[in-house]
Amino acid sequence: MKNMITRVSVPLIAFLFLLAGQSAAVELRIYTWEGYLSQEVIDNFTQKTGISITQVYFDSDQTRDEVIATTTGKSFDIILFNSISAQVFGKSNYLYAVNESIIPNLKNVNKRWAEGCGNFGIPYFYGTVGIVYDAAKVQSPPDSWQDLLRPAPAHQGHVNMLGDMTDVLVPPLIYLGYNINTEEETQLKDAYNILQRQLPYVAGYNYVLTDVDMPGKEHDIHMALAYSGDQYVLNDLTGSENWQYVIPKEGTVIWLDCMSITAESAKRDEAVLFLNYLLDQQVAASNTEAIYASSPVDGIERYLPEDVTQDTELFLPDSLLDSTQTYRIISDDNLRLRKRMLDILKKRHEAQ
Amino acid sequence: MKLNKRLPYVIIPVLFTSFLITAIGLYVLERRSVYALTMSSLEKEATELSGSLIAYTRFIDGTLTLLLQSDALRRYTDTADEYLKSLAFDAALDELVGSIEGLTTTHFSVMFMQMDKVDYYYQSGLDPFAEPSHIIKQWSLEHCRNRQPDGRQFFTDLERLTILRIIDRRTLKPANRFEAENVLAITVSVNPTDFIKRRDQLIEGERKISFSDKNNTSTLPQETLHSRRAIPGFGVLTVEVPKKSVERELRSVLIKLVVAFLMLTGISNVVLQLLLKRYVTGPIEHLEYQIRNIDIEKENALVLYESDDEIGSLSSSFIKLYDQINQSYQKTKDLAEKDTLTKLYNRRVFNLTLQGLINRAGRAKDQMVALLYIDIDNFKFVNDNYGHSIGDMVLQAFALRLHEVIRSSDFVFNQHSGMTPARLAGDEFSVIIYGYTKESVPRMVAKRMLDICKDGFVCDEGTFPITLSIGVAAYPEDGKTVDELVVKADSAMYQAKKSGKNTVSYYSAELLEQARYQQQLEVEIKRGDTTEFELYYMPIVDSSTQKVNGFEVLLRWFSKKLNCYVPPAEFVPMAESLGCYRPIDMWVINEAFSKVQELSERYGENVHVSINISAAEMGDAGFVEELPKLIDKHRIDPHRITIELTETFYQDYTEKSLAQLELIHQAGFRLAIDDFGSGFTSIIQLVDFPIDVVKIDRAFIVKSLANNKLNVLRSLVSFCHEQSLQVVAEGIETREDFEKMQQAGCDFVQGYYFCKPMPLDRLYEEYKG
Repeated sequence: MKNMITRVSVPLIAFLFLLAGQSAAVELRIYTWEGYLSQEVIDNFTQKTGISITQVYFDSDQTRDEVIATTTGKSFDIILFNSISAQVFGKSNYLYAVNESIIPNLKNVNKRWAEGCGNFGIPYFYGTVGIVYDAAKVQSPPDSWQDLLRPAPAHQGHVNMLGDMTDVLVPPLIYLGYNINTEEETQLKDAYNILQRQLPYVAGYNYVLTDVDMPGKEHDIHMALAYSGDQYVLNDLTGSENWQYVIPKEGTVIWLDCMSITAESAKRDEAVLFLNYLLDQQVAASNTEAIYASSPVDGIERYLPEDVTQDTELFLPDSLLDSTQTYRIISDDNLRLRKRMLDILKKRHEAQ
Repeated sequence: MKLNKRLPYVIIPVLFTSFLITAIGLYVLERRSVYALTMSSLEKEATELSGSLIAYTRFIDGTLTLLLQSDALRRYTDTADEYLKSLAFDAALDELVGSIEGLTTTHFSVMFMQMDKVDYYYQSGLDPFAEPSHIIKQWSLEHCRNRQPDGRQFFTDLERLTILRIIDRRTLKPANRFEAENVLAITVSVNPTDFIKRRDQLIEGERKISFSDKNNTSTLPQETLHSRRAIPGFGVLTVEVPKKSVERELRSVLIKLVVAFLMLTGISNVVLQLLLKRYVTGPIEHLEYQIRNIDIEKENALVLYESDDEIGSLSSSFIKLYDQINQSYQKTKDLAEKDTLTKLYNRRVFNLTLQGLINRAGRAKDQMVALLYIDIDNFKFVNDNYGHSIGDMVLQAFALRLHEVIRSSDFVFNQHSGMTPARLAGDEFSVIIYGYTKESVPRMVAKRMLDICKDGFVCDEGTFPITLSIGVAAYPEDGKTVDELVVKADSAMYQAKKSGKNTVSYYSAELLEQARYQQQLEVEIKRGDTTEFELYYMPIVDSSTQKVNGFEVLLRWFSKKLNCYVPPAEFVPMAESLGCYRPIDMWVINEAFSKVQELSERYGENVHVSINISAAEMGDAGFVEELPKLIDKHRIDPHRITIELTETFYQDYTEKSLAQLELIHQAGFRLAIDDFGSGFTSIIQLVDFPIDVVKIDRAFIVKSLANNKLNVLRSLVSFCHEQSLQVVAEGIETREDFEKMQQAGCDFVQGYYFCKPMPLDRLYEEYKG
């Protein structure tokens, strides 16, 4: 979902800034993952509207949530959330509620995803959670969550997890056959125990891309819990073709990211304009090709080359989509508990 | 009592008393200081514990203050969403927990309650599923209900220090109206971990630690020592220790003291004893041991204990004294044991030594002891000819030689063997050889001794014609006792003397037999049984007519007891020495006289009878008086009786015996000198003695004939004829001898050529005269 394929030359950026400042001097601040928005899309938008886009990046959902929950979050206009966070913050009036009348292009969104962000944003990209692995280091490709949760001794200290309180619970819950949105504390305890047992194998809970990208990084990651599409970024970053993505046989979860406008944004109209622009089929196609993540916008295929449209990793078959669990909104207590579980796993990991 | 044994009795009471006093003093001091120390450590511990608790309460107060002033709380109260409340607070609290310095805590929790509903709960630690304590929840609710905005409590069961503030969620100030929807009860709980650890340590150390949340100052029982500290707002902390445990500590002190006391007493005792033994009693004991074990007979030198103390000087004084005593003892001993002249052992020591060696050899079995008796022959000659002082010098020189022989002995001797010489009497010496194993040893030693005088005894004073007679007797073969050995060595020595000069003779069975024979002979002689006697008659023939002139009467004794003829040469000297010759002589004379008549009738009127009479009789006047009576009794002419004087007479005749001889002659008896030319006979006697007949010894005749010196014999015969003495030649065995005697002019002859001596009845048959 985060791609760095777009490489824009420095003189061009300088030119664009200059242009934007001259024409409108309106700037939208977006808080998002790095490389999760096509520069071409941004450029086109700026060219068309004179509105400039500034991106501020976070590297974990938790960081983002904490930032938004404190005062510092008020300086953003648009924020990228996962579907659950969007609804949590929306309920607490942090976000501006939208609908088709405000953002007409919402009509382009596939029915499956239409309600995904509630009315607190637009569906942006969706994807699966799976395992990325370095084929050069992992001789037999993992095909079960067990391979990640109880890896072979050779991979001790070379397994990376995710710093997201919901995503990190996906492998144990699905492996145990539980619903990922379970409210049963005993089921969560079971999942927690599995993760606690996995601790000795875990290299870290940072996002694998952040980890691999960090200069002077010592961790030699063999496999990681990751999002679909991360294998491309990893191959780019490492300059190899070794990184593979696999969805374990027990199944996975479909996630959905949302773009939301903050309640206190002073540039709500410009933000609405940008979100509407993103849902334009042609723009969505361009963004999808650049980022190489699945878009919830219908009818983008006609703007894409055939090899892209034939990629079932990008255009997931309906059968898979129908059979796979999705995140649902869960109780506050459950959220708090999941957050504490992740916090304590991290503490334990640091202590080991 | 020995000094060493006395030492403990001296040392122990002193040590015991002094250490006991010290130990009691120490215990009293220790007791006082234990109490003082316990009190002061109680105070210290109470201060420490209360200080620790207070630090925790201050930390909680500070946390609460921080929370109440923080934006986080403000946002919290503004937010409705539980998750966002968590987001807002958890991070802040995590940070707070992370920043706690100087205090450790295993539990830190913050709880927000709205009446009985938990609004928010944070707990540090590694359990994501932790739940707030029910007790604290209840306690918080009570405060809300009782409208108490502040609360402080030490939940001792939970081990949590908790402070409660009830605020109005709108103002974040202490609540005053307590409206249920606006009241927020904030509790901060901490586990006072440092305090708990320290408290548990102290409890293990027998401290009793209690916490009372009321400021009750109820008096504690008298049997505890205690210290109290107030924890403001919480209660009172009491640290106690039961007197019993102090007493127990004191008991252990007491036990240690007793042990130390006993050990010190014991060790000091041992050390003191050792030191005293080493430096005081030891040397004394050593000295005492040496003195006790002094064997004045042995030359074991006393070892001087060299030290500059009294014992050293005692030791050296004693050694001086001992040396003096020893010297004078040695002198006395020498006087008592040694012969002053030769420095050899005297007879007494010789006897003792021999006894000792016999005893030892008797135990050792395979050891032999030989006794050598040495007699110097001819020593009387040395004394007589050179004087006694030279004689003494010769004896000294001889003793030295004897020593040399012994010293130079290279016979196989070990430390248990050796030789001891002794001087038994004037010229009698003895050597004891002991411990040897080869039988030849005494022989070889004797041989070397004989070598001393092989060619006369040579010494500084000159050469002396002395020889040695050595008799040897050995233990155990020849005798088992000292006396036996001495007797046997002595008899062997006499045997040696008899068998010639400078010889050695060994005591043997023959010697024993001879001695026994001699003894029996003695007995038989003393018994004087004349019935066993018989007279043999040997004819004396006139050399010119060859007719019998007379008979020599010879006594023959067949002893039934000894079952043999005893030759007169054996029993006559013995009878003389025993003094029992008289009855024998009388029997012979009587018997001979009684046959004179018969002989006359057979062989002619003028037949003579010659009788040998003991020389001893000559000195006895009684004998001379006896003779005429016998003559009368048998009515014979004394003229026809010739009394032959035996050899022994000549050896030491006196004026008196010569006078007796004269008397016999005057009584009419003829007197004859027997065995002339042998032994002690002398030509003087032919002149001096009142004799009528000379009987020339056969040895003299044989020698004269062998050397063809008949003229000597003829001169002797004519000399006798000059003196009016008739001459009888004895031992004529051949006709040739007889003719020579005729030529020599002998008047009469006798011998086997004519007739052997035989009893009268046979004589009558075989010899017709």
